[in-house]
Amino acid sequence: MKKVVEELRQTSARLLREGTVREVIGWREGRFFWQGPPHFASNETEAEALTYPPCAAGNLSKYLLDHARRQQPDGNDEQDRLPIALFARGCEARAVNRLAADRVIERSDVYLVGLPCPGVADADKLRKLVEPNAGRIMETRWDEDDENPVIVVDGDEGQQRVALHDVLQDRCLRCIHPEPVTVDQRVEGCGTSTAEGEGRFADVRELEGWSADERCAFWSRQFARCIGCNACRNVCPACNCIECIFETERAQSNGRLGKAGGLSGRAVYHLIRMQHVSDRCIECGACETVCPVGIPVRTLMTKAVSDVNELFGPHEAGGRPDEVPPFQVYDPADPDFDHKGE
Amino acid sequence: MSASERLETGGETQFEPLIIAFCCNWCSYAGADLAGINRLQYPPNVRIVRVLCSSRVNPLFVLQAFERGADGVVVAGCHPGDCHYGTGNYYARRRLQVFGRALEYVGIEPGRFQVHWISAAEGARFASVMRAVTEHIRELGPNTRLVGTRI
Repeated sequence: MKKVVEELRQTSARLLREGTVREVIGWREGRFFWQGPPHFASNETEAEALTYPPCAAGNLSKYLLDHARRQQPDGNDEQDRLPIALFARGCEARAVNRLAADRVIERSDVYLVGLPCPGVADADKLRKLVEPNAGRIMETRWDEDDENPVIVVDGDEGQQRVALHDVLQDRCLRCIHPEPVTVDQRVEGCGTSTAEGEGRFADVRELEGWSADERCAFWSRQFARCIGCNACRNVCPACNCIECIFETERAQSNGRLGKAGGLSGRAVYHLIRMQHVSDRCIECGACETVCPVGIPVRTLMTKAVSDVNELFGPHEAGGRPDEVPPFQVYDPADPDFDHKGE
Repeated sequence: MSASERLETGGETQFEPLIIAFCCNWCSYAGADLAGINRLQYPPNVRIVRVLCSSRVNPLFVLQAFERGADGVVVAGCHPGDCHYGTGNYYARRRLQVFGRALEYVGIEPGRFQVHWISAAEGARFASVMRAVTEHIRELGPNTRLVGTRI
């Protein structure tokens, strides 16, 4: 991946130097190996810190809500019209379409530097492979091979080389779009991860096979861990309302969906958020990656995506910046509820 | 007010479920009205909340009804194609189907949440649907899976 990282850096520096963009959003090295924090570069010097950390998680598109424009300015000044550049893997590119389709950003204000996605490393899987041999992980870096990326891990007792494909996050195993669907520029280089693995809805199918009692026990345990940090909502590109339902007076009053909402309040939060993103979720899995307590949020959200596909026809959100989500249309011949024996 | 009342009849107690029915003003609520005019009995377990259209029903209402003590929740609207506002129930049909499946996915028993299409002329059917729902919920027992502990 070293060549890819170098190309990302140089592309960014050139875009800034030539005045093509006003800012570049990408990643930087984290303090700890499992982090993939964002980096905002407005000049060539700042662009030198851009990289692609092995655990580059989350979804950079969130920052477009803060940095990108809702509509292009009216003035004639060219400087005002410079777009903002974003590193875009498969998920970020679809997230940009999501944000544009929901009309919260102006698509032309974003310059996508496309990166065919090799996948993201799962910190826990990496630890499990490395700690028995090399001890506690101190540092990670890429080695030379771009076709099959390898992470060189320095532990406090030695060094180990790990193939990225062996430690992919679960969301990468189910990803059907590692290729960014739309780009303004493309960085070549590495092979993509992909669901040669387990299939798009493999985890959902597994849970569907359990009994209601088992599912209740499972999800009760998961929701009980929720601390209400809203990280899942905050990083989600489908969650882009100016006033989120969970921030309204009605939701907060009497402690219903706030901190005092109790165990049921947490379940209600997840179920309502699931309902709100059903037809617009791009299945990026950032929600699950950013959860500080390890709730399998993606397994919940993609259940709704699976149902939308089954009920209303094949659907993948984020394919176009002008797409219309399935809940905003209808067909008089839609499937109906099962009213047998009525 | 207690969530589900226990009726004592001759030494036996029977679980009386509490069922909230969100009924659209133009069709199902009118259907309930017709049942009443024709003196058709349906269980007092069903408490009606009138909305203007089934599409007004926010899934949040359904969840908070369960949190506050409902054992079952029904959404009743016009038959698809006959919505007073033309298209409301088409949207409701899409959204509430996905929502119903979500409830089952997290372990809520099938049948606790139901959606029915009942017209203004179907007084008898309103009564029979509500009777069937009540019996189904009675068999399922009290709602123990989505209970508000801090409300």
